[in-house]
Amino acid sequence: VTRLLVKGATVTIDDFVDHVAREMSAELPAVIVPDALLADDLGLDSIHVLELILVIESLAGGDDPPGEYPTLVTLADAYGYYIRCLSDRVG
Amino acid sequence: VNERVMGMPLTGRRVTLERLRGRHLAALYRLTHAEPTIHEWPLYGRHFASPDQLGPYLETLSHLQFVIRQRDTGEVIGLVQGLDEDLRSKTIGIGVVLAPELWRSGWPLEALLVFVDYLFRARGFRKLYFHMLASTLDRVGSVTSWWLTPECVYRRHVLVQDRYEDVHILGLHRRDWDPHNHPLLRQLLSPPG
Repeated sequence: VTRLLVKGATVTIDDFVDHVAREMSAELPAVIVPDALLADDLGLDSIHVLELILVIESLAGGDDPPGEYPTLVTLADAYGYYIRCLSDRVG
Repeated sequence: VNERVMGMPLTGRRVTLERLRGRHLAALYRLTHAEPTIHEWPLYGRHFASPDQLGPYLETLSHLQFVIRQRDTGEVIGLVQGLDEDLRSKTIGIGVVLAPELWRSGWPLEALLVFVDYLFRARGFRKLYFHMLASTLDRVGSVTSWWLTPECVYRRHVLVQDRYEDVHILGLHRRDWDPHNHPLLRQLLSPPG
């Protein structure tokens, strides 16, 4: 988990996972690992992935999404996207 | 190009809708004739020899249709269509085709939400219908937990790759569509600028 933390991030991956589990309409498993596959392990479909992208962008605090067309396969990918949203906002 | 239709910008955060024109047909031909899209809507088992033949066919299906373009590259990544419009009842069916490699990406579905918003707010439709193959519902089944209501199922209705699949009919009523009361929709449908 520690390897995923990025200096300057305001939310750790554990907090990130908690936030996503709270905000998403999908019911996620009680225990989630960062390498969990969004589709196969968490049962997220493409509508959920769109919802996840919006939840991430909202958490990052930006009204304007970064100029990225994310491909999210795992929860770690989602966290990485969150970090990039933060960086984009600061940058 | 950020097209406005009946005063509404048909633009999401990452996609924009543009009226179907002849210049889009080559890209749409590739999309609709690629595996596994060719087995699904809108071809219904047809195969056209060239993009020029696809155009007239799409025109017979709908006069209310837009290609989906990725905003940064302008690439055509799909098509949305209004089907079987009933002006008396103010109902219309929705067809969506996306590039297969983007089916799991999530963000291209912005186009569907922008189109739905346009049909309700600009065109005044009362109710929308979605015909979904059982296999498609597996990919986007959570729409039923957002707004769509199951209406009925046609059992073993459509031949797809040598077997008959159920077709699920889902409905969306205008009274259940209020972007201002749904934070994610508000975020999506009100792009800054």
